[in-house]
Amino acid sequence: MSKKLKEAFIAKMDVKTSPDFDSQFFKKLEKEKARKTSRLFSPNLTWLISGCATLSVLFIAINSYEAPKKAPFHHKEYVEAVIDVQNSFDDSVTNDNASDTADLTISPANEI
Amino acid sequence: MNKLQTLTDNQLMLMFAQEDDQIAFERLYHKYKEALMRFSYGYTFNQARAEEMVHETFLKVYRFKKNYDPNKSFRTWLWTICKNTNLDALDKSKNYKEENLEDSFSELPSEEEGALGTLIEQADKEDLHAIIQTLQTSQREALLLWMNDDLSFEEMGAILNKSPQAVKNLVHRAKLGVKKELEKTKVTGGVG
Repeated sequence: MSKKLKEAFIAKMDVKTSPDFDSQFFKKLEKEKARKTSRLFSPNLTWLISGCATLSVLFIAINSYEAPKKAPFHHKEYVEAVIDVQNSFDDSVTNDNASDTADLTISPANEI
Repeated sequence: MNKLQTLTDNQLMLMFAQEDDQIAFERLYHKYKEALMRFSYGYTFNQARAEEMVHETFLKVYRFKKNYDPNKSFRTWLWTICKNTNLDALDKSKNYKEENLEDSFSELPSEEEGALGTLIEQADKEDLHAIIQTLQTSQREALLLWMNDDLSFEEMGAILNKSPQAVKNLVHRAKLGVKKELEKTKVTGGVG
């Protein structure tokens, strides 16, 4: 009885595939095959090469790095620079004093 | 070709998986395409969509051939791929509910089966399709598997990830649901 019931269902559920059903599938299958073979390397090999390349770059970068060294102290240049600064300061002070003195001189023409 | 005819599905699949034997793969394709088509059609009753689902199922068999476990049934593996492919394409949230399957009733009495068979023969195809579409997805899947291939309840359970008894109950409920709706249709003269 169960078999008859199954057959009754199947008869009403029967659906035919379209005429190009098989050809469409095999076209898709060919695309799938082409997709697989177009890779130059297998995924594992690709990851291996990429990983090695990345590690190499990091290794070179780390080895090339030099920590900044303390600049050597050049005493002579330092002293000369200080003297220059001091001289320029002295000059500016002398000039300032001269102009101030000039200001304090009262000319008869300016007397009220 | 004669040699291939004597091989089991598992052996054909192994030939394909290990030796890339395309003839073995095509043999499996031609053997199962119609059954998978009827099964996929039962999800949405859309022919174009069902054809796409069947194509996608076999493409997945091709893609994942290395994953095939020779200790397991090829049929179960294939139907599981087909079921999952159809479910992935559906909006599962709509009506995929887990049912309480503790009923002990799992068989329609033979008179009722006979009555259901008669109702189905007399019903319009479209009415039956509409009724099957109203079934919950789990019931529909069980019914479609039951009607579409000579799968045992153990195999159906493996495909649906349920116990054989749970699958029997689902099939039973699906049949009852279809019978009830067909009787209503007979009275009212159409699916409302």
